[in-house]
Amino acid sequence: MKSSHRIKQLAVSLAQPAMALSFALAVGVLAILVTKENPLTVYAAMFKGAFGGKYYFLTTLTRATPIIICGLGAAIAWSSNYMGIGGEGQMIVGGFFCAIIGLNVPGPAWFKVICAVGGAMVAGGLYSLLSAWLLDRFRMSLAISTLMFNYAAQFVTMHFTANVFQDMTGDGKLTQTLKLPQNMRLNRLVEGYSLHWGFIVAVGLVFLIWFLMNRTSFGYESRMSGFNVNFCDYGGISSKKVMYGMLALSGIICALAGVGEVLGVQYRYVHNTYVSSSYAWVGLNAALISGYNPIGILITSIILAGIQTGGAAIARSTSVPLEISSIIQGCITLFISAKIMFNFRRRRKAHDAPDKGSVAGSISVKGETR
Amino acid sequence: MNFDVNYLAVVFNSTVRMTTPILFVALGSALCNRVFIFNIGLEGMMLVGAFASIVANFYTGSLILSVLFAMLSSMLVAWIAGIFMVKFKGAMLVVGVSINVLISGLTTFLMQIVFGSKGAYVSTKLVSLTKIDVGFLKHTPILQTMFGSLTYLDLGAFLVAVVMNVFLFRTVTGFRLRSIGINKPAAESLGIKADRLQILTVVFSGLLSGLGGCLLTMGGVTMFAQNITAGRGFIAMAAGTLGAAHPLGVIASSAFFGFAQSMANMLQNTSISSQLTMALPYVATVVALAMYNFIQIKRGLIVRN
Repeated sequence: MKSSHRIKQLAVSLAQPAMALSFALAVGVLAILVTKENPLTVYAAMFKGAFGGKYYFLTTLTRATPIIICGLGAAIAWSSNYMGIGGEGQMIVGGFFCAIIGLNVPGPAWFKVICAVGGAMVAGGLYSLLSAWLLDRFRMSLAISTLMFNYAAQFVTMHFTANVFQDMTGDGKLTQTLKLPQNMRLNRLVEGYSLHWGFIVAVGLVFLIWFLMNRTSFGYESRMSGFNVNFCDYGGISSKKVMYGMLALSGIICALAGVGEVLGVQYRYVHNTYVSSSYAWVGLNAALISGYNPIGILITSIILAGIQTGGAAIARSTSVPLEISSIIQGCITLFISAKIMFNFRRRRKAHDAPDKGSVAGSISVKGETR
Repeated sequence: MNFDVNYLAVVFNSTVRMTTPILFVALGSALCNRVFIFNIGLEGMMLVGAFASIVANFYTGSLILSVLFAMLSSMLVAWIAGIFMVKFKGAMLVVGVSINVLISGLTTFLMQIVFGSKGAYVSTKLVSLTKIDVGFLKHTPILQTMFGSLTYLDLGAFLVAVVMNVFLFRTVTGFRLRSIGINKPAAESLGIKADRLQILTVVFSGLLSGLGGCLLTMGGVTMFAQNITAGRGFIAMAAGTLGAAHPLGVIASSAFFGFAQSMANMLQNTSISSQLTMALPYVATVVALAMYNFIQIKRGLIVRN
């Protein structure tokens, strides 16, 4: 592949998200006008609240950490054509188990941390495998089962947090566990700021997943499965094995997002925090926007986290509610989905029309088939 | 808790009231299934209907306008979703997820501007849906309990199901709709405007979701709260699938989820943990779908590879 061609392809793949971002910001302008504020000043304040200055930037990176990890988890499953939406539940399960294991296992701190992280990963993987099994055994739609389990996980962990592990030392208003001891917590990256080592782990995961997807047979098999399940079986790859493997891995990774929040930010499991911040959904959006490319997810997650922290900043200083960030974000993914239209036209020249409008097929395979 | 006849009548009544909002949306989902559209955005469409009805209620105080506005706004959102899914060939799951994120943000955003608060909005000024007068049943108090405090919109949900049944299986347009779901290119080759019919179906499912949302906010206690639908749109999608996308089957499956939800509410007054009962409708959904699919596989209607 010639390098000029490669640059051209990069420009094409960046043009789409850039266009979607400008469309979304335009919709945001309409929303801001409803609040009778000046869109330009609001956007300027939003940018400043997200990236302007060390404090804001590091806060954005802290917020981006679980988003990056959830984005990777979603990308793994979606790129192999298993479109689960269970990131939220997996993150809850991971965070919950990390906290209760960390609090209840005896021994030195390093042992407790290993048990907590390992336990959370196992729990997240098994939890995700349940949906995989339902798909395999009962042909149940992955989207529906994972969605239902999100709610089930939320309420069941709430039950155990409230009735078994509730922190009785405080005023008892929040449903939360006790705090983990000091020696189990992740260190801050910069003293005095919220950014913790979890961010470095997330960046490490980005490269690990990139390597896994692009340089190993496991990644090749998953890409083939995303391309065409029947072809994959025909070519001697067990699509069932790929499904179980991919969904388990995606559950394990999303669980790590919860672990990061417990060990690095709250130091305990607090009911509803992951749901109300919708980390998993933003992560999924990041994966969709970047076409499941791990490096793309890293960048997109930071931008989306910036939109959120920026949204929170303007909610403090102006009368624009912070949900402006959800509006912009929803619009970006909506417009990104129309990407298929452009791919459709370009690919039609090469082959016949692709069979269905799945993002997985059209993006992950693009580089390889030519 | 004593299991007398009166108690069962109360359970029946609450089941019906829990069923109908889901039924509306499930019918929309069933219709979408018929034209091969996996519409996960129904949750957002329901939410927008719920919000719009309360906003119109707040400004006009008119019942008709509230219901109308709920329908129209949900149809608008559904139209956008339909255009992106069908015309722009967007992946349905992606469009649906985006719609849900967008609407959840938009309703909370507008809620703070219109009502000035983020939590729940309740006001005595708001009108609620007209209840059906069951005075003629006063000689049999059991029936009165069973069918009391239902609105005309509740009744409408069942009517829509029956009408949709006739439409799908007894009219030419219904036949064409079903043909798209079976094989779109084949349907197109017969001169059916498949794209247009698909978008119209999504818009109509939006209308139904709007009614479902409206029933949710104005049926019992008239109020709106942030993300009040709480996954009911998703449950309705499951109900649509479970009902084998047949309108009358959808009544049965929606009633099942309505029952699970009303049990969750009823059990909250007992010693069983309220958090666990809240998880009940969602777990019941998965179990019911698994059992349904298991039977279908046994009968050879679904192929496992």
